[in-house]
Amino acid sequence: MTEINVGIGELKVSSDKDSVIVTRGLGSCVAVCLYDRLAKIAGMAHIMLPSDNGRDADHSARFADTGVPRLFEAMVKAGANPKFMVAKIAGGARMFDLPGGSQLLEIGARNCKAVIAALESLKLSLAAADTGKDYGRTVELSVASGELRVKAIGRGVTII
Amino acid sequence: MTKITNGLTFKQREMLERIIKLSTDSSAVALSEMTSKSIFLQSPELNVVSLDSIINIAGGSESVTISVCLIFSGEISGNILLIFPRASALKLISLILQEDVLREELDEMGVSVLGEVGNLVSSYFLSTLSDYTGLDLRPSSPMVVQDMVGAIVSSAMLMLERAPEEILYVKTELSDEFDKIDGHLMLFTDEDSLGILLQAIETR
Repeated sequence: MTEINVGIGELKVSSDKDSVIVTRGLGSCVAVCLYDRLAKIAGMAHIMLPSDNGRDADHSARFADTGVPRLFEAMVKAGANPKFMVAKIAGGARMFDLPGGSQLLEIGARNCKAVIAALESLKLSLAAADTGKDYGRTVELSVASGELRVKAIGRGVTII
Repeated sequence: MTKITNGLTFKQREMLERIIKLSTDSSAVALSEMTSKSIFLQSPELNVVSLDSIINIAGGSESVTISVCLIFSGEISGNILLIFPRASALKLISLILQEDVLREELDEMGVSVLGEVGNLVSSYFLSTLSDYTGLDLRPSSPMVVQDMVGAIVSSAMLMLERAPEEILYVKTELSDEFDKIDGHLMLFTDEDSLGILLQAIETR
């Protein structure tokens, strides 16, 4: 099994059935996974922040509003059919807590909201999500099955 | 996200290193008094690094860390993150509580001790920074979290919506007469704040 690693703010697409697409140590970031279940093409983007506010000069997947459409385009370019595409997301945790709270600590929730909005505007259905809470996650997307394995320290593995 | 283009000037680096040295020296004295042992803090080295490399330096995305994070605000805003490999954090807790047996789990007492260490180190750092720059800086209470390095470092950085590409990073090594304790100190500032901070240092 080959591991295709998605770094922070990157996106990867694969149709190699012997591989898994992996991103490690997600906190408030969100892994957006798209999967064409007929063509068996999988893609993952590592989203860091909700919106690029017009400053995204390069072609990364850092921001939900530009990164999710880029992942979608990369999927289509690789031969995926939007009609058979489903989305799964994981991450968006609230890693830090303060008595009284702070708007700054809500970045995970805002990332999730922005990702879901971006998926909706591409008319992609959200098949499953493992988001929020207060712990980090490592995720592995199987290209063969579209299964998303979510691992967290001391919490074992959840498959969505 | 912008870069600290051209890196730090000679003066900025020299001043920042002096501020860090002064504050870690004060922290070492305070920790020694707390534990009635001699605690040494190796003369710390300042670096400017990217998010990817800082995660690698701190042990890789999935390695388990116990960290303390404080948000500061005032004329500039950002946060301070102290990252300890899990075993080092547990060693530090035992050292401060003057226990002979090493702890295996992070309990409430451990969280409280590390929170105090975070408070101490960051308040010395922020007050020294304040003295040198004239900037008004106020820290939040400490937040202690045990999780993966990648999750903690990226989330601390991304709390700042206008996060810079690069992080001011100090590797520290605490030790008493016998044991070494590894730790990493990171300072995250948003884009505007980093400019104001470096400017304040430059013009002093």
